Amino acid sequence: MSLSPPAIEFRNLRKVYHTRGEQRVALEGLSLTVPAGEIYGFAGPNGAGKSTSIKILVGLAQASSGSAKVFGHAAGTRAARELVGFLPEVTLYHEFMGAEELLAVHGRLAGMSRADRKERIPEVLETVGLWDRRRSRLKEFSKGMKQRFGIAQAILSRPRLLVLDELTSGLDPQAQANLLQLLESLKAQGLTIFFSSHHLSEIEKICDSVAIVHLGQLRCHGTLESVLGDGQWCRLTARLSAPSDTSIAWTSNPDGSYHCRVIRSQVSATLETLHQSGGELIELREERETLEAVFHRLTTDSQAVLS
Amino acid sequence: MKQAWDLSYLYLLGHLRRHVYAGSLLTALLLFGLPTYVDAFSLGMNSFERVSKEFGITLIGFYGVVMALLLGSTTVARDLQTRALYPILARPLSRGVYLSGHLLALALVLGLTLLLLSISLTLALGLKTGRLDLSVSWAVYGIFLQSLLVGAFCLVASLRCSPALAGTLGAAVYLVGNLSGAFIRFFLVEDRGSAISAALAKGLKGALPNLTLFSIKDPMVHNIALPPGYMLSVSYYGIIWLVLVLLFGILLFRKVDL
Repeated sequence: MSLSPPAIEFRNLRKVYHTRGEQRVALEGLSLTVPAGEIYGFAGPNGAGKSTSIKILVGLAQASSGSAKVFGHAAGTRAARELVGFLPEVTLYHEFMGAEELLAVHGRLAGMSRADRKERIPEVLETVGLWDRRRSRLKEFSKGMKQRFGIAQAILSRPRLLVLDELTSGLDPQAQANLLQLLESLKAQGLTIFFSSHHLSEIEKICDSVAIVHLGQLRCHGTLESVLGDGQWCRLTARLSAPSDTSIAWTSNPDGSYHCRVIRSQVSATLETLHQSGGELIELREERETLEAVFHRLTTDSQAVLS
Repeated sequence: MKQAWDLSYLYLLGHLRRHVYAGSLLTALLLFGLPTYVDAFSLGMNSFERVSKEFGITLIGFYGVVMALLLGSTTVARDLQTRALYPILARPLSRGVYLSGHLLALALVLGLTLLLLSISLTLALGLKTGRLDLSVSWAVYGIFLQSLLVGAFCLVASLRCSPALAGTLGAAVYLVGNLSGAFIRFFLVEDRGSAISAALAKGLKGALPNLTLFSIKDPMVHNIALPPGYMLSVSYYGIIWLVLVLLFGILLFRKVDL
C-alpha cells in the first residue's frame, strides 16, 4: 500500500456565495480523492460547482467549510501552490507580451532561477509546439495556440499536479485532438492531471477516472470502468414467439427478434426462463454505458446520488 | 519584493505597449513650445518665465492626475475582466505582492511621464532664459507624489468597484484632498453659512491625505524658498499614506473570491 498522499483530497467541501443579501450554495459537502499519476476527469453541467472546486484547489477562492488538500498540503498555501500548474477557463493572458517573454515572467514569479528558466522555457515551448512562434505576441495567437500556451505556463515550473478548467472548450476537433494527445504525453511524464470538461467523449477517451458533480454534490466517481458499469450489464438477443415473462422487459427488433438488458448476475436465470418458454438465444454480450448516458442519468434526476 | 518587481515589469510593459506615452509625448511637445508662445504675448513685460511656469506646471499637474485616475482605476480591473490574474495568483505569491506590483508599475509610468514633461518645460525655459532652473522639477515631484496617491486610491477602489466608480472615488479624493482651509472657512462657513457642509468637508479632509501639502507650484513660480527639510517631510508623508492605502487594499483583497 502506498503511503504517499493523494494528489487531491476534498473533504466535505462546502461553498456558499453571498450576493446582495442572497445565499447561493455552490458546493454542498463535496468529498473526493484523486490518486496521483492519473488523468482524472471532472464533469458536470454548467453551475454544478466544477470551477468553484477548482478555484478552491488553486487558492483563488476560500471554502466556507471542509478542506481541500494538494499532496497533503492545505490548498491555497504556498507549499500547495508550488505543486500545482493551473490553466483557467477562457483566459486572455497579457496579450501584449510575447510567448517566451511572458513565460519568463511566470518563471520568475514561480521562483525559478535564471539557468532553470533558460533551460525550461524552450523545453515547454517545444512540448506544446509553439517554439517557432516564441517571439509572437499572444494577441496574434489562435484560440488553440493560446490554450497550448496556457499549458506551457502551467507546466513551466514542473508541477506535480496540472489543473485544467475547460481546456478544449471552443476548439476545433483537430486542436482538441492535439491537446488530448499532449495531455497523454504529460501523464506519461508522471504528472497528475485534473481535468474539467463538458466534452464527455474526451473524458471517456483519455481519463483513468471520472467524477460527476451536479448541484454542488458528487453524483458519481471512480475508475471509468466502474462508472460506466463495464461487465455489469448484458444485452440478450433472442428469437421468441412472443414475450411471455412479464418480469423481463423485452423490446422487439426490426428483424422480428427481441432484446433485453439484464444485470450480469441475473443472466443465468433469464436464460433458463428463455429456454423454458421455447425461445432461442441469438446473442449475449456485455454492455457498457456511454459516459454521456451516465451523465444524463445522474444530472437529470436531481435526487439520484451514487457513490 | 522581487516578485513585485517582476510583476511591475509586466505591467509597465503593458502600459508602454498600449501606447500610454503617446499623449505624454504630445504634452511634452506642447510644453516645449509654451515659453515661446507665452513670450509672444508678454507685451514687453518680460514675465513670460513666471507665466510659462504657472501654465506649464498646472498642465503637468492635470495631466499627472488624469493619468493616475485612468491607469489606477483600469489596470487591476482589466486583469480581473480578462482573468489574466488567475494564473498569476495561482503561483506561490501573495495578493499583497500582486497589488504592490501594480502600484510599482503605476509609480514607474507616472514617474517616467512626469520626468519627461518636467525635462521638456525646464529645457524650453532654459533655452529662452539662458540658465537652467530646476524649480520646475521640485514642483513636478510634488505632482508625482500627489498623482501616485490618487492612483493608489483608484487601484484599491477598483478591487471592489467598477473602473468608472473607482475613477470617481479617486477624483473625489483629489478634490477633497485639495480643499484649502480658506475655501472651507470663507465659502462654506461665512459665505453660505453652511455649518454642516463645513463639518463634512473638514471631516473628510481629516480622514483623507492632505494633498495641498504636495502643491508647491506657487513657491516655485514666485521663487519663494521652502522651509528646510520640507520636501523630505512631504516625501515621508506621501510614502506613509501610500503604505496605508496599500495595506488597506491588501486587507480588502486578501479574502476576495475570484
